[in-house]
Amino acid sequence: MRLRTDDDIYRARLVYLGPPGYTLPIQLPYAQYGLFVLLVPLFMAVRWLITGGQIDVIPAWEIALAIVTTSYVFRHVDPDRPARMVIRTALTDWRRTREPATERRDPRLVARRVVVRGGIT
Amino acid sequence: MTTHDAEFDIEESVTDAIPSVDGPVASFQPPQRRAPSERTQQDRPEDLQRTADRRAAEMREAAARAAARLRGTPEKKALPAGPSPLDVESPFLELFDASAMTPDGVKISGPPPTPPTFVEPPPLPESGAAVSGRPVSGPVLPPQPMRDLGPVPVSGPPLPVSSSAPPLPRHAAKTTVTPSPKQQRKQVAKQLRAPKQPKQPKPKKDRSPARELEITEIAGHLTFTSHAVTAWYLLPEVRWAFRPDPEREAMLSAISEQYAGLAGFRLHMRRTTRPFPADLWAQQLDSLTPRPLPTVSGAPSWEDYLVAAQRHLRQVNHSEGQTFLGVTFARRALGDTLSERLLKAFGKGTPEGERKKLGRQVEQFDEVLAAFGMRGQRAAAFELEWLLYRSVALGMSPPTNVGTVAHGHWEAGDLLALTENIERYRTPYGSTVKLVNRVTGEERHVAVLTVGRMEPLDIPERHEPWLHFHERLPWAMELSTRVDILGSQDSFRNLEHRLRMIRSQQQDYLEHGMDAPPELERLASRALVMGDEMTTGLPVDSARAHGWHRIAVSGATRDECLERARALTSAYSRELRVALQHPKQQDQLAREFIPGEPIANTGYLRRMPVRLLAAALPQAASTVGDRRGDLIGRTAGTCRRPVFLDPHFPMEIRERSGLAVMVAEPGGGKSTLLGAMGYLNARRGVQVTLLDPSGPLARLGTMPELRPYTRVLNLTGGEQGTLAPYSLIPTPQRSEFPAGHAGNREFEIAVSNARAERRMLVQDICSMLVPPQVAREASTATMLRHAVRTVPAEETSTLDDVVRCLAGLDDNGRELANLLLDTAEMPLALLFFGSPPSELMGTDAALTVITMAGLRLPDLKIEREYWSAEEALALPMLHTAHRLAVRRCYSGDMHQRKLVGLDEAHFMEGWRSGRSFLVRLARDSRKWNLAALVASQNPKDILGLDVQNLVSTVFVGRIAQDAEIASDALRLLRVPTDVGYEAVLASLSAPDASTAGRLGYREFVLRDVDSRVQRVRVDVSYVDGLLATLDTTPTGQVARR
Repeated sequence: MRLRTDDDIYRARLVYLGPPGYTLPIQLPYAQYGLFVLLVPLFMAVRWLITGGQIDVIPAWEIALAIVTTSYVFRHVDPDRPARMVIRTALTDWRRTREPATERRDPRLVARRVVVRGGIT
Repeated sequence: MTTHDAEFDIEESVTDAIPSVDGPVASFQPPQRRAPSERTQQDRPEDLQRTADRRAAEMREAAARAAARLRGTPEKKALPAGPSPLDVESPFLELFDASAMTPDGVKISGPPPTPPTFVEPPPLPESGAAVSGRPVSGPVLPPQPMRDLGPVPVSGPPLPVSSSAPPLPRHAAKTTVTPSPKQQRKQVAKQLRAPKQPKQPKPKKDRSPARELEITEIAGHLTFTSHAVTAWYLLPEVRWAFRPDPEREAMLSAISEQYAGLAGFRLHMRRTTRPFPADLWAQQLDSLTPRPLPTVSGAPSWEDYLVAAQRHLRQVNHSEGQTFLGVTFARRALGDTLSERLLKAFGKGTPEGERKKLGRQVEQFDEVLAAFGMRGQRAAAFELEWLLYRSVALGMSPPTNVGTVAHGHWEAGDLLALTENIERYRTPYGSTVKLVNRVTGEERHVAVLTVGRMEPLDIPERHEPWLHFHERLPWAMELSTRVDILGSQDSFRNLEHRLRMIRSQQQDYLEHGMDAPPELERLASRALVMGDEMTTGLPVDSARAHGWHRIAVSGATRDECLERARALTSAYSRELRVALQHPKQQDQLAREFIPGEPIANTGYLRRMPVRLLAAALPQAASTVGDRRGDLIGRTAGTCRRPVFLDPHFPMEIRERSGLAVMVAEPGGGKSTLLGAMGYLNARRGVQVTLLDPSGPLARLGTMPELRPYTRVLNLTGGEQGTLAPYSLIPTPQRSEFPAGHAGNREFEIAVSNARAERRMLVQDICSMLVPPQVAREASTATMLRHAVRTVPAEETSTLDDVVRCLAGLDDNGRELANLLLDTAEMPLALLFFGSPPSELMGTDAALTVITMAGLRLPDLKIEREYWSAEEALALPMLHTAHRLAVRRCYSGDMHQRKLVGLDEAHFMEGWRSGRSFLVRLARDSRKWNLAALVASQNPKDILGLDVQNLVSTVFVGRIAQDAEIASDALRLLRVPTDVGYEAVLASLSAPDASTAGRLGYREFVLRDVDSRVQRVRVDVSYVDGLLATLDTTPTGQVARR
């Protein structure tokens, strides 16, 4: 029997070609547009927090930063490591992105308090 | 027919012998036998009971003496003066009272000596009850030096008590808890003061950080965590190799239906390994051998042989796998969790009501999983403990005496307590996890690989099951698969969105007037088909399994571990085109192996139909052979398991005939196998007769341990009448049949059958003795029949009577008689005439080898007219020699085990008496406990329906020349022909063209009595000198001279 995984389907590259009648010169996956659209207000909010209430009408810097961030994130994304994984790794491991060059101890896993019974009842 | 059947070795750099045996080994040292002078000559089966009683008494005496020695008191003179009856060299004797019925009845007068087995940690105080402030047992032991790669530590003579650190085995500590711990401590302290004793530090309370597992309870086959309940099942191993493809597909379909029946649940499939219990096997073999061959001074004894076999088994490091399937089926309500916490304070676990409710729910899984396909059975609590321990100590060597030479008994929870001692470290650059066992000092690095991108697979046509494939590598690995099974609705919903987006993307390209990439076209058409399948097809076609698949590779050092991971990755990508990834977060991945622990959230989620998940088949295995016989080698297919073969197993246990057939071309290793089986069984006290016309088996008599017990009968120098045909068929005795009227009838039938066989044999022999042109004439046959009818067909008749009868007939008869007498001029033909010499039968030799040294065997492909006189005589000599070999077994005890090895049986082809001989052999094998090993170069005769059903074991060696013989051999193996297995037969024992050395082993395809077929490698190198003795090549013979 010929057996295959479904991952092909999930791996298909779905790009946004452009509005009907006009083909964009650069075709990017939908996911990148989505992330971009989420990042711009995020960066605007960050700027608002830092500078204490100042926003531009045209957030050029935020847009530029969002473009850079999106392309950086998606450089590391592949079908097996979805964008959510990559972002989470970037956010949580920023202090430990490089594994240390020495051995570190982890807590032991013990089964001290497991109750063992012979039968269900 | 898959690739694995044709090629099996990954690369030459991967060696078989794993030099480091990790961990101390338990070994079985049989008690020494009594000296032969003390045995009676007439040992009969009733003596077995007396021998056993005697041995038990001796063990008791030895134990009493050992106990007295420990106590330091002078021995009571209860033994009679004279030579000590038995110097038993079993270390286990001194561990316990041999007369105790259960471990709890064991009385220990003093701390027992160290068993050279897995050293256990000081026992923990029981939950809720501490015997004293300190643990009861004595000092904690220093980590034993496990890293020596020298000779495998095997239990030898019992260690004298005072010169070793005596940690108490746990069971002993348990039983001595009730007597006085103070006395215990005093004695232990006294021992500490004994000389040559290193100072032992006191056990420290462990303060390193520890995290509890998520599992809180094991109840029967259910495990409870704080969120969910999982039901665990053990999946037995299934045969995969050499099965016809339709059978394999049927099995995979059945398994995928079972998975589809589990839709909506989360599964955790674990595959772990268990080391092969070599000591249990040795103990069983020893108990099945009541009378091994007595020891010859200067030669290895029976005990040495057993120890060498165990050592060999350890070196090759076989392990058996166990597959567990856990179905997570219930979420726990808040009330249940809280009540459990409350009850824990009182030492109890989950509330009874909850468990009863779950018990009812879980029955549905029993039904689904017990059906054909997986045939899962509920796992027992101790098996789950074992799984838990092995998951925490991932890749480490397991405690070797669990369930082995069982002199103790592990209580519930003991195994889990051992998890206290496993320390975990994150190695530099996060590539592996280091696990250290604090007690034994063992260090192990584990790398967890996860299954990445998978190309389409053709199972079973071209590829192997993709989670079974890793077993071809010689080291043990562990598997963990966590999947969610989605039913049709769920999976359709999941996929529908993607499918629609793909279609719309395709539309998009069309609108913009661009060419869609071909991949998109393919996916779009596939999307249509899948959508259709899922909405209108069977549930088994639409169910999906989404999850993660991990393989854990371990090694003693980090480099070894990474090297192995690389080898595994390249093997998978080369053969199956499955990419294995080595992600970060190894510590979380290693935790995922433990049942109940959270999933490590790395990527690499695989979504597949349940058919592909079923085709993973981690429980495929390749055991062959019974487990109670002698070690003859190992399997050479995907995994490596030891192969044991007891030629009497089919008769004594399975109640089938004991006829085993061997088919191979010259040079295929028949002599090696015959010689090896003959040696091993002679060692075990079986009466062995080997017929080896042209081979080296007579040299078995030169081996020192067999020399006094071997008799070589060389027919070319034999006396007149040795092969007298009438006497070769034994007359049945009345005592062989049951009493009563039915027995009388059987006896009469048997007597007349014997007579008929004699007539047939004499007729055939006479036809062989006269020239072929004469034999072909019709009148010859008539006259011979007349003569044979006239001469009474009893054992006392001879060929001379036949000749005399023929001479008295008429002119033609006289001519025939003269022709027969002409042949009698040749010295070899005299063997047929006359009466047999009296001392021919009934020798007591354990091993008899019948040879025909210097005899040239004819080529069956040439017509008989062109044979020389000597070759023409060889044919009847072979026929009668086969019968002589078997004849010897009909005198003597019916129930004693006997083995007959017959080589060159293909000469019987075409003769009526030949086939009837095989049939009689097969039928008598059960009655006379006679195992027959018949080697032939052409299986055609054996394929006749009457004989084929009587054959229980089949060995097929290399067949590279003749395609017809190859297909006949496959039919004998009951393996489908014309699918490519002929290539497997041609590639057996294939020497490596790049090396100039000889092949040290021979390979066969073995079908055992339970119809399991597997490729095996016969390897008896653990017996000193056997291979050299059986060496037939010129170089070996020169070296010997």
